[in-house]
Order: sequence, then structure tokens, then C-alpha cells
Amino acid sequence: MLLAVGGEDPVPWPGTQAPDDAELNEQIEDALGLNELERAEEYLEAWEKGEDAEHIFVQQEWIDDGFWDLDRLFQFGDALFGHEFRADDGYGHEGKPVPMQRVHEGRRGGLDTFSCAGCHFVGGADGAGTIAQNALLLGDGEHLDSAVVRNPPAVIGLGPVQALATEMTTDLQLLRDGAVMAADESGQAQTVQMLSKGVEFGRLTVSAEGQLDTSELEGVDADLVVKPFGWKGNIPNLRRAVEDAARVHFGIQSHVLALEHQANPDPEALGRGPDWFDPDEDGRARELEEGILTAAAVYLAMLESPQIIPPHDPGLRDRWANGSALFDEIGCNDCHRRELPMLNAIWREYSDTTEGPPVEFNLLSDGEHPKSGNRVQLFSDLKRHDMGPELADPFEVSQDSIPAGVFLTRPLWGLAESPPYLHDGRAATIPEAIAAHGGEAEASRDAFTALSIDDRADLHVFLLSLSRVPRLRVPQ
Amino acid sequence: MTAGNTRGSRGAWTLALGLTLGGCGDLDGANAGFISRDTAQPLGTLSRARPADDREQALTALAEDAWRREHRFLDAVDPGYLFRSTRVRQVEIDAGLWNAEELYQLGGQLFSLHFSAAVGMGGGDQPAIRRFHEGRRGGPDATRCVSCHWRGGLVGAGDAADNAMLRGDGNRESSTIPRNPPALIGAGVVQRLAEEMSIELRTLQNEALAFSAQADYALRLPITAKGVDFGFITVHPDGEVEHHELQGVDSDLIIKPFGWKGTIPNIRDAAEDALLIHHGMQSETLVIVGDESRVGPFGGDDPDGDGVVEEILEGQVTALTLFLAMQELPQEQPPEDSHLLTLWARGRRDFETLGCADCHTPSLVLDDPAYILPHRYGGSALRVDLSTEGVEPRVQPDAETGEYTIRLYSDLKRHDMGEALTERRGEAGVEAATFITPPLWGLARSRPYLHDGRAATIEEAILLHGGEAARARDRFASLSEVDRAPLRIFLTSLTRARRLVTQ
Repeated sequence: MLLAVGGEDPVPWPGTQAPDDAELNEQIEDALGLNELERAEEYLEAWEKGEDAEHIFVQQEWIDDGFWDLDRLFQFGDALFGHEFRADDGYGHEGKPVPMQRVHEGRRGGLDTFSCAGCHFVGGADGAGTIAQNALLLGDGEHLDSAVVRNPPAVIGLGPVQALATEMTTDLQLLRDGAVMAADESGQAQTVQMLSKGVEFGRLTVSAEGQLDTSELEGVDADLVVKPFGWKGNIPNLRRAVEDAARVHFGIQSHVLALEHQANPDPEALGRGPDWFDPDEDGRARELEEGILTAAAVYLAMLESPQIIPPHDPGLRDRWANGSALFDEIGCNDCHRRELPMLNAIWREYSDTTEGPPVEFNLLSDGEHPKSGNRVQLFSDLKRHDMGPELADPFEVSQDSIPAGVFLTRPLWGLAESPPYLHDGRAATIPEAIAAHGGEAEASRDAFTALSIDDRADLHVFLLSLSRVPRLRVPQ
Repeated sequence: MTAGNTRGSRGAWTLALGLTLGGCGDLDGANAGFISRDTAQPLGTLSRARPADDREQALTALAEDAWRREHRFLDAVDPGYLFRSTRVRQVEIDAGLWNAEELYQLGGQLFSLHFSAAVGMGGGDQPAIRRFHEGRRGGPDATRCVSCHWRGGLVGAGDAADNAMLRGDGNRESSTIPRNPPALIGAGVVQRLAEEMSIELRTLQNEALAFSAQADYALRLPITAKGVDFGFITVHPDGEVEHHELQGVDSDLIIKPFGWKGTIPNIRDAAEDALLIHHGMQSETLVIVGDESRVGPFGGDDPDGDGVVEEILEGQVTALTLFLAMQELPQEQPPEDSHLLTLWARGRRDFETLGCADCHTPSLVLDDPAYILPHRYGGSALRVDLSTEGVEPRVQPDAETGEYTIRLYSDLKRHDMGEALTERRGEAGVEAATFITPPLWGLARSRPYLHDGRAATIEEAILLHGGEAARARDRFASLSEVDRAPLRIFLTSLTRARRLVTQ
């Protein structure tokens, strides 16, 4: 048996170095400080009911006026993530908030739990969810087999992911605009290879008349917007992801959604109430202010990024290195791109309805550490791929008509701390997840299966190094 | 390489039984020479040690986390390594090869382990995952115990999203009984209290029977345990006992403190059932008992027909049971702010005057903190003194009286909770509206509340009480907002010891 080093040491550090005193003390202080704050807030809420709700009440106008600094916005976002929504907040709809409804009813959603933290805890704060926490989306409100099953992904590192997607969108749209201009100038049809950050998205043809032929695009919608969130890659940014999650899991409707509903009613998703400002008829309007959407997006974007933490044992380290090489050799890297370059680390969070300046910060330095760095080791191409019939959803789910077997390449960073795997959490282990790949990944899957037992183990070791740093905390 | 189905370990088990029969009849230290440790090993990923010093505590947590990662790598190069490290055989325990600390670690490793089909998760006739249970067979609906026992810390509570959807038809949500995973800390002491209460009730009945037989007349007497009133029994000189006036306990007079309905008498039964219904991991004992409705229709040594036998060894059940029994006790931490503290003190009185304390009995006195785990196959029982061997903070004798006062906030008795909380059907002879009083200790760290987790806040939970609790509920509901605050503050002080962790 290959044994890890550490032996009889009372405080062994097989995975990493023991933190030095200053770093350790800071970690302890942070953890205890946060705990003290959370306990104090808990007592405040007990004392004066409604305190919790105040911690998530943020008007966009206050942000526009520069009333809050980044730290404060982060705290608001953090409060939202932990907030237990309740009837007073507008939880549920039509006065029928309990008991839970796990099988969602169409696009309206269900009632899964009370807080974001309720399903994002595996591997640490802002982590992933278990299979028990799988969301059962777009069903008939009753039958398990009517729903599509979605495992809650970890929500760290999302700032760089959105930044990359935005840059890729810009690249693709510039290519399109260039082709349109060229077609216009030359009077001839133009076909361009769509390429961003080394990822190919098929071809786009512009006719002499300026008509777009998007039929040869690959892995991206016709609008050329790279949508990095949701298992199908159908949500463009964190604001919309937070808004959608609050709506379908808690029946909490943002004011921005209500405003849209006023202009373009969407009763199927929001409800049939007579008043546009309270479509779910629970007597509560403005359930989520626009400002808290901004704070939540800023919070998520400022969270730590996953890190690669190799084994410490020299024997295991060799196997890790071999596994890393195998990852490229058998073609995992074709879709699970090791890294994508982030050119612009300045985050700008714009509001939806006001004219205020965006909230600006630097993804490489502001907020929680560790950061992703410019070379974001994401292990994804942020492109959609066909995963074959075995992994396909029971039916097509997206309004964007993404085929049932097509999913966005799941970023693998943080993999070790986010089991179980695949969109419905069906794979308990990484090898099981690899073996379940099909469609465009079939060749790589077969190459994996054909590896020797030792090589498969080495690849597994490598994938287990895709992790996140241990962080001290007091459980809440 | 596949763990769990090693027929070799069955061979070892048989050999050990042979020793029992052919040898001295009881396996104890004298036979230790014949038995050696098999594949189980403590990995240093968790321990009972929880230093009081913050810095030491942090280093312990980080070291445990570091070991967890390194052993996970080892599991990749040697598939099944983590599972095998939990495979302790009962004969090894009987031979005294493992001490309490080591058994705690082995049990904890099992509690954190990822089950998979390779080690016997699920059944041959079940889908890999079945979120809504089908009958008593269960799901499976989770890959690890910690999946649903995490909130507030190790072996904590589950979120509303973690609710088990029990005994349905496997597909319709409305066919299931949703149950929120409770925090399991303090379970050892809870079981001890229940055992002492059961003995007290049984002793009362026996003494009454003896008296009745001697005096030759029937006797109707109130029956109580640790000051909790369980109604009346009537005994007859011929040995007949009438139980129809009993309240909140079965006619066997055994207090069953586990399960929301109070139907499971001890930790071992609860853990064994949870392994079965949530993971499809079948213990040796359940396989031997062979109830098809629970273990599946295939019979023999693989009744769930998944090709894996001996999914959970008796020794693993023992280790898991002791791990749970040795857990820390919840703590009361009043607020530090002087104004809040004044309100807290008032809330503590309100808890009594409003009538909450009528069922949520603030404290019960434990006579003996020794947790005894009987042997199911003829060997010696295991004994763990929870006052010295449990995880800190553990049960402590009162400095003046020497008594073990357990601030549980439960009478361990079943009560009718009224229409609003009534479930779709009863269970094990317990009415659909009847539940055991859940202990309130650790309350602040175990949200959401009530049997199906429908209450996001403590106040919502109070207001949803009905039935026998209707009067207390009404008294609280009639208070002004300002006057409700003290009780909320008091209940918020029921928490767990502060602890630095990484996971």
C-alpha cells in the first residue's frame, strides 16, 4: 500500500503546508468574526422581527448614488444567500406556501426550500448540492417522472466564468458584425469561422443581402451570446441566475420581473394575479428589489475561485502528473479546456432599470481569495455539446429549444468538492461520471475505458486535485 | 478490488463463529490472539478531540481536512480503499482490538463515506436514485449520511430540500410522507433517558402486578417516569394489564425516542434502517431477519439482488452506532448584551408560563450515563461512559448534586398535534396527527422546523402547533409583537458549541 507521508506527526499536513501563524490567525479571526456577526443577527431578528428582511432590502437607487461600498454590497449578497425566505417576504404564492412542493409545476417552479444555502453547501460555503437536493424542474407538480432533474452546482468562481463568457460573446459578435460589413461592402456572401479564445463555434454565413444563416453555428445560440450558467447554458449572467433561482425555488419574484410582466405578461411563469406588481397574488409586491440582485451578482462574482491542489505524497504526485498528461491525451481537454484567458478583469455590474453607473471592481484582487488569475483554469470551453441519448433529459426543456441531449461543458474546477456528478447527480464518483459520457464525448469516453487500470486511476487522481482551498468556519 | 462483496471476509466471520462454538463460548480478550484487524483503519479524518483553544481547534480541523484529501487520492489509486477502511468486523471488536476512539473514527468514516453501486448501494430492482420512496424499501435518495445531516455542524440537521419522502409509490409526491432530517447530536443521552424511563414504567407495572396478586384486587394507578405522566394502567390479580388509558407510549411501555413519531427505540435500529432506506445498504442483521418488504424479494444473502453481499457488516453497524452515541451535547448560550439577556431571562420564564414546558420538559435527570450496546450474536455488550468518553461538550454531573441534568426540552412522550400538522396516514400504530415531542436542544442550529420542515422560523413553528399544544400556541399568539420577543430570544439561545471546521 502506497502510504501518504505524515506518519506519526501529531499535526500532519499531507495535502499542503501547515498555514503559518499570521495566516492561521487571520483565518481564525475571519471565521470567528463571521460567526459572532451571524449570532448577533440571529438575536436581533429574534428581538425585532424583520431585521433579517432589512439585510436583504437594497434599493438600486442607493447603489447608483454610491451609498454602499463593495464590502457592504458583498455583505448584502451574503445575507441574501443565507436568508431564510418566509411568508412575510412573499415566500410561495397564492397564500399556499406549505408544505413544500418538490416537483415543479411547469415554468412556475415549486417550493424547494427557504434559502440558497439550503442547497449549496457541499464542499463548503457556496458549494454544491446533493442528490437529495436535486431540483425537479418543469414537471406537472406531482410526478417524479414528469420532471427534469438538476443537481445544484457549486457557485464559487462564477465571476471569472461570466467575464470569460462576456468576452467570448463580444468576439463572436464582432466576427458577425465584420462579416455583415464585408458582405455589404463586397456585395458577396461571407462565411466566417466563429472562434473565440481558441474555441470553435462553427460557421456563420451572411448573404449578399445581409441575411444571417446561423444553421452552421455550433454550441451557441443564434444571438451569439455565450450563456455560461444553467446546466444547459441558457442563463447569460448572475443577475438573471439569482432572479430565476429565487423565483422557481422560493416563489420570490424580483421587481424587475414584475416590471417586465407589466410590459409583456408571462402568467405561466409568474402567476395570474390581477395586479402586475404582485403576479403571484401573495399580497407582497417588490419581493426582491433590483438592488439586491445587483448585490447578489457582485457577491457571487467576488467569491473565491476553485484551485488545483495536488497530492503531497511523492508517489501520488507522480501519478497525478501522469493523470494530467492523460487528460489531454485521451481528449478530455477538447471540451473541458484547461484554461481560458481572461483579458479584462474589471467587473461592471449594470442595473436593469436605472441609469446609474455600474458597480466596478477587479476580479483578480477584490473580494474573497484565492482568485482565478488571468489564466482561468476552468476546464470548460463554455460551449454546448451533444452528450448522447443516455444523458439526455426526458424532454426538451428550454425556451431556447436546446435539444434534450445537449449540455454546456461543465467546468471541472472544484470537481473534488462537488460530488455527485452530472446534471442530475447520477454519478457518485468521477469514474462513473466519465463512463456516462456519450455523444460528442464518446471517443474520449472509449479512450478512457481502454486505459489500463493504473492509468484510469492516475486520471482520477488528477481530477481529484481540482478542488478548493480549505476554509475555516463555524457551521451555522 | 471491488469492496463489499469480498466473500473472503464472510469466511473470516464463519471462522470466528467456529471459534465461538468450539472454544470457550464467549469471545473476549482471551481469544484476541486468534483474531487480527482486517481492512478497517482509522484515517485521522475526524476524531473526538476538540481542543478548547481556538488555534489548536483550527489546526485540528485543517489537519483532518488534509488527511481527508490525501486518503481520497489513495482511494482513487486503490478503488474501495475508503470503504474497506470502515470494514470493521464484530469479532475484532469483541476481541478488544479497537478502543472507543478508534471505533468513533471508524463510525465517523462510514457516516461520511460515499456509497456507490460498487459497494452495494441500491438494489437490483431499484433505480439508481429514487427521490420519492417506494414502500418500506425506501429510495435510495442519498449517497452519504452527511448529505442530509450537515446543518449546524457534524451529524447536524437537514434542510427542507433534504426532506426524506417516505413510504410512497416511488413517483407521486402526494403519496409520500415528507420528513425533515433531525440533528443527531446528543442521541446517546436521549437513548439512555428513554431506557431509564422504560425501566421505570416497567418496574411500576411489575410492582403493581405483584401487589395486585397479593392483595387480590384490581388496581388502577397513574404511571410516570422521570416525572412525566403517561396516563394510567389497571392491573388485575390474574396478571392482566389494561393499557387503554396509557398516554403517549406504546402498551409495551418502551419509550422509543427516535423518529418523528417516536417509533424507533435505539440508535442502532435507527442507523440500520437509515442505511437501508436512504442508501440501499443492507446490514447483516436485516438480511438475516429477511423481511422482504424491507430488504427486497431476492432472498438468500443478497436479498436486494444487486450482486453485492455483506454490504454492511455487524461491526460497521456497531461503530456507526457508537459514533452517534458519543456525539457532543447541544448547549445553551444566552446573549451577551445585557438588554437582550434580560429579555432572555424573561423568555425562559415565558417558556414555562405559556405552557411550552408542559411537553418540552426543560430537563430530565439521568441516573447513569453509561451507554450499553448489547451484542446481537451472543457476545459481550459494549459499554461507553458518555460522561468521560463522549465528544465534548459531554454530559456532566451537577457540581452540587452530582446529578446528570439533561436540558433536553422534551418529555419523550407522544402527543396529538392537531389537524394542521396531521400527516397523510399513521405509522406503526401511531396516529397520523401524533408525534413525539422533539427535543428543542440545539434548536437554533437545526432549522427548518417541524416534522416536514415547513416552518422556516421558530415563530412559524410555534404558531403551527395545535392539538394538545393549542392552548400554549394560543397564549403565544395572543401576545403583542413586543411580548413575543423574549421567548424567541430564549429559544435562539438553544444552540451548539461553537466549533471551527473546514467542511
